[in-house]
Amino acid sequence: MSTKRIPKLIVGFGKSYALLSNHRQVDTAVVFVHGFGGSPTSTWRNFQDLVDEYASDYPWWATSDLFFYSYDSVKTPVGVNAEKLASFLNDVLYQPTLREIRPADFLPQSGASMESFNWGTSNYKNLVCAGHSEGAVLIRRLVLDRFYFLKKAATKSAGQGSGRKTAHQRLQKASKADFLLNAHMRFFAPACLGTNFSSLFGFATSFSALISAIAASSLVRNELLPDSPILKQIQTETESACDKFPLLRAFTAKVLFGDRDQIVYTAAYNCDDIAYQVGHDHFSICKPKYVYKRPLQFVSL
Amino acid sequence: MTDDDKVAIANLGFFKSAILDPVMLDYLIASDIHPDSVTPAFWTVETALWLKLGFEIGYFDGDNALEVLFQSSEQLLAAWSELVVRELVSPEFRRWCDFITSEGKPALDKERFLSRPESGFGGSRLLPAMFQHYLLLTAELVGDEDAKFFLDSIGWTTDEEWQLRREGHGSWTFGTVESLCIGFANTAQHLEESQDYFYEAGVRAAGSLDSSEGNRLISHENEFVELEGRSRVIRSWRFNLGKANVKERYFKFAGDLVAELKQGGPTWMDTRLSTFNMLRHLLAQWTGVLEKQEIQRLWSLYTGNVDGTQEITLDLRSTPTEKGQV
Repeated sequence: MSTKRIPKLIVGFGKSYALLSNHRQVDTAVVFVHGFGGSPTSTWRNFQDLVDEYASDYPWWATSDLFFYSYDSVKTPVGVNAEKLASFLNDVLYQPTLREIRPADFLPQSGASMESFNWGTSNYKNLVCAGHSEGAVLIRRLVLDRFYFLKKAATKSAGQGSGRKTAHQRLQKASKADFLLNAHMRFFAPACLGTNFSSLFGFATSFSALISAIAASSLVRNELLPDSPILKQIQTETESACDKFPLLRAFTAKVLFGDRDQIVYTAAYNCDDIAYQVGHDHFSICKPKYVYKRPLQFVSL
Repeated sequence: MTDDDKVAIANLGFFKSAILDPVMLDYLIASDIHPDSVTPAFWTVETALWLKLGFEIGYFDGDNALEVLFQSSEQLLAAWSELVVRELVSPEFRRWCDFITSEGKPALDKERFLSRPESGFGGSRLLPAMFQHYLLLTAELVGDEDAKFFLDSIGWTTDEEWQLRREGHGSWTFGTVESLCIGFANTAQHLEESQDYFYEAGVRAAGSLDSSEGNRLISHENEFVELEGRSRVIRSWRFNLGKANVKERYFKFAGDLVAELKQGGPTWMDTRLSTFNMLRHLLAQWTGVLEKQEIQRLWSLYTGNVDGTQEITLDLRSTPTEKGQV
């Protein structure tokens, strides 16, 4: 059976949408988070089509729902965006009506004689977070926020006087069971070690990217500079958490850079697995094509 | 209900929530707040054209698409009348709106909406995927206040109003200069992606590479060209680049923004030229290939050298590289 997908707007999250698979055993949610000045369709161009067109080569995608997240990347600070992303994930991963289609809602006449239906079923066992550039920064902030939330809860429930060891054990247990903290991270050209905003000329490989960079809020640009306290904090805390909890998948990422990237620093955290792709720049690295299928393979488990 | 029926219904649900409903809401609001703005009327008519095209290629079911069309008929016909009265409807645009009868009071013609051209679309799997891509890109613009403000300002205002908006004291209630700049970037990104997608889909339709449906796709190449042509007619009003002064605004605005990076060295000069060329290639799908004299004139506007004495001596044929986002 060939995979069929339906698009669904995720209400409350701007231009975010999902492409939901009709496979009987959908068990994976892939969340795509674009970068600075990007957008859900443009940044991830061709994922929308090629995952199904190449189903025979990459059957893994058939059992995956795709979520393309949209957010204001040029004016809103990273911390705020990470919190919104958390809210988005809560909505889409646990929303019981996500797959429900009710024709009567938008076809009042015909819909009355048309039954509502569920577009397949899902029981997500895997979460893959695919981030491009600033999107990867958001995801990493989100993971830390979740980790600290559990840490606080563990400390509180262990109670005063129970000692660090008990709190640590509780945190370990809670983290091990947490869906997000065990997600698979796939980052294309992450801006985690900073962006070369000091010279905007690097952006001139794309007209729109250059204009975005010129028009962006200075706050957001500063947050993405290599010496930004926001980025430093995310790096230090992620590497430290990874040392202490090496089995938690979400602290480590698979990272892919193009050898022609002039926008971000092409390095990764100690805990990451980094690779380079010849012939690609910052923008093309995350767009699969007929002649460049690596992104399809890179994201899959 | 088969899976195909379900897909067609779900597609319509997506179209309505992501495009039609926001456009209709904008039209209602704009008629109160910005009665002089024509872009909400264009967006409204555009939605009807997507419905018709989607039905023709089998992305929507005809009867259901018709029902959705009739649900919004009041606003649609009002928008259509507004554009006709202002003489803004091009012959090509009118041709595909033939399901809106223009004799006397405008009305919707059910039979015409449900008719398919003789040289209709076949069953290539590529066409619905392409069509959906156009819808996804359109939904991005519809949901983007900055881009809509930019398109309205650069394409459909008087020179005086455009200048006022650029300087931060235009009559538009919600727009800011920052919004114009971000809208420009987002619109440019939309154009880049449309262009690149068109190129890649063309490769796919030609079946020249290792598509699993290669042989079948070859026979659908003409349909691909037809679909692209139709979608282009639907989208062309957005940019209004047939008007000389609008084209000039794009280059002048880009030039002013790029001038903010001015450092005077070779990198700066190369960047200025390559950015000009990228914009020129980006707009070529709507302006056609420009003649050398026209390029010189636009270069002068772009560089702020309005008397046109400065000539370009570097190669203007360079092609844009891959586009995208940070």
